[in-house]
Amino acid sequence: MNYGKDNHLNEDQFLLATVDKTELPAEAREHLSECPQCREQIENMERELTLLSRMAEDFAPQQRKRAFRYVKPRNAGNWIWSLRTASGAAVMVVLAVTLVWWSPLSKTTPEVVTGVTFQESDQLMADIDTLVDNALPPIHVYISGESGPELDEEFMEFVVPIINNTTPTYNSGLKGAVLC
Amino acid sequence: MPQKNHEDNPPPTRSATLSRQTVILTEEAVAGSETAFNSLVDLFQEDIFRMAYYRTLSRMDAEDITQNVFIKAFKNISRLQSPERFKSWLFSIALNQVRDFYRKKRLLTMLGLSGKGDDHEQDYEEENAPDPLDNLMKQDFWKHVELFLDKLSRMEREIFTLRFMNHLGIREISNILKKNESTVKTHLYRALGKFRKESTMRQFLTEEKTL
Ligand SMILES: [Zn+2]
Repeated sequence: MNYGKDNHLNEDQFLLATVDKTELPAEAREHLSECPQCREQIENMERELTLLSRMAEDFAPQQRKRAFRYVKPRNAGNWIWSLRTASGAAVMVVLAVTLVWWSPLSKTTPEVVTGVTFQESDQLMADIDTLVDNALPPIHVYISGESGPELDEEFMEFVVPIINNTTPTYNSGLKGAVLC
Repeated sequence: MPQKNHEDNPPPTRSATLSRQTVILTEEAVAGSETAFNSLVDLFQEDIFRMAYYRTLSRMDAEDITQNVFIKAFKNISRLQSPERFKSWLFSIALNQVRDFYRKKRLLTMLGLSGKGDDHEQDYEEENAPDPLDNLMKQDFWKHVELFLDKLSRMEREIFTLRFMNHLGIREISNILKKNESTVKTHLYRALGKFRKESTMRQFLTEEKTL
């Protein structure tokens, strides 16, 4: 096609130029470089798209909850943690001593019982740690989606299969559509 | 001179000036640096939050999705083989999370356990109560966006949103959706054709600009 001075880009070429100018045929590109009218049309389109994205950013709410950050487990260097641990240990020692003191066994073999008690308190602490780490019963962990991601995805795939196995779509609040 | 603009074809807004920094941080994060990972979270959480918000129009849902995206990214970052593709990789995770979100929502609806009626209205009220006029304008904007996006096919919608609302380049979109670049361009071309016909939406955009 011959792109003369008045042979402006057609609708398809405007769209192509907005997607990627390198997709235009050489003649059209040449015309574009020389024609302020065609350039202005494309620039207007680009301006509208920029407005769309800027308004979307401006009109989206601010994130209130910051995203996940990896935090190293607190160690002994942290004084609050040390204080907590020390208090816990002190309570356990007092409990252990009390138990030992009142236990009939303590009258005869106090050293052994003390050892057993400490072992038991260690066990108790270990049990408490396990409970804290796994606060929910396995079935609840599974339901809450905190179990392995692979299992969760498989489960969801089985129960609610993807319709076209393509990408998710925009949610239409007006129609209540989820995927279409 | 606009000539330069014709040669390269950058995303419409916000050029990716942080890409080098991202690659360095990603390399460190892949090697096990939690600090580097946290810096990546700081760099990308707003992008991911917006990406999720544009697809859910609910701040709380978008926050939950954002949270899940970074948890998943943290668990899997050691397996990322191309640090230069971190952003695409992160957006792929985000798309999967959005997809999961809708599947779970559908499941709850199927089971009759879905709670809220019109989440969007509630969110608007919650977010913007102090200024009713501003609130109304935002509602109007999102309704225009929804009406327009509803006219696009699934793929057109996804590609248009990634390109013109999330500022991703064609190559990045191609990586995220695992489609070749010419397919991405074809869908974008069709979506833009529909955008051009969307006179109400375009008028709204240009009118708001003048306010
Ligand atoms: Zn022309």
